[in-house]
Amino acid sequence: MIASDIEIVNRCLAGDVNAFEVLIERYKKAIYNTAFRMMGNREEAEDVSQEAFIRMYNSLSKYNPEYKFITWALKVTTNLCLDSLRKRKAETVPIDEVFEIKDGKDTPEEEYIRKENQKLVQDAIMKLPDKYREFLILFHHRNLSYQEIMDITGESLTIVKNRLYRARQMLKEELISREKEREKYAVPGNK
Amino acid sequence: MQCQEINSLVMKYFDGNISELEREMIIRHNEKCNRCAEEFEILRNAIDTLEELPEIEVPAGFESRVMEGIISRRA
Repeated sequence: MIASDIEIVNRCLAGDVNAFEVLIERYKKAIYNTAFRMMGNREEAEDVSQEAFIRMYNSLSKYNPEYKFITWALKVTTNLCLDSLRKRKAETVPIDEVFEIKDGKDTPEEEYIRKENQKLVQDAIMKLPDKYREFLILFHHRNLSYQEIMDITGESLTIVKNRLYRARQMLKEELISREKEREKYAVPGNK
Repeated sequence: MQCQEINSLVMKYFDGNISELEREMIIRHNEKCNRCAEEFEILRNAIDTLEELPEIEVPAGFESRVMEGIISRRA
């Protein structure tokens, strides 16, 4: 029988520290990937994810079981990401590129276009203000609902909707300006 | 319909909260307005890509490092 999240939380609270490993195993992928998309590189994603799980463990007594554990875990993680992003010096941070290897269904040309698209979007979302990137990642990358995003960010429905609207607008403007830059330097007649 | 109004519908489209009629309005407007059509394609491509960005593997030994951190801070 698989233990529920709250059963594991209760075991931890009763002193069984090793039980927490089950929760790490269960949610590490979502936490690490969210941190990766927020921070833009693996090294900081790992630091933030580790710290997030340690903080979760240390504040398990504050976990409210009315919410899903993952919602609370994402709240802790995104708050830590935003804190780290505020502290860091942007110009020194690398952006790791990650490309999906599809199972040979794409032609080399399709594969190339997909990689270029992924790189373009990845770079563009890293240019957005952190607070806006957070909403885009939660909604469009983690596929969460408005309600889940409200629970994670503590914002109202109006703010969630407005920030998503504004984030998409900024993403579009960033991509259009890149497109214009590219056209400016393109060889005439070789578009 | 004005471009500004279409832009609001486009955002509803990406919220996944749009009626068939509203979708038709975007299509009809974009057939006549190159700028909106181009911007819609740029954003659609970006959102599709964002939704499909690959999940990456968590580094090996991650759990152990977290557990060590928990235990060392308890000590």
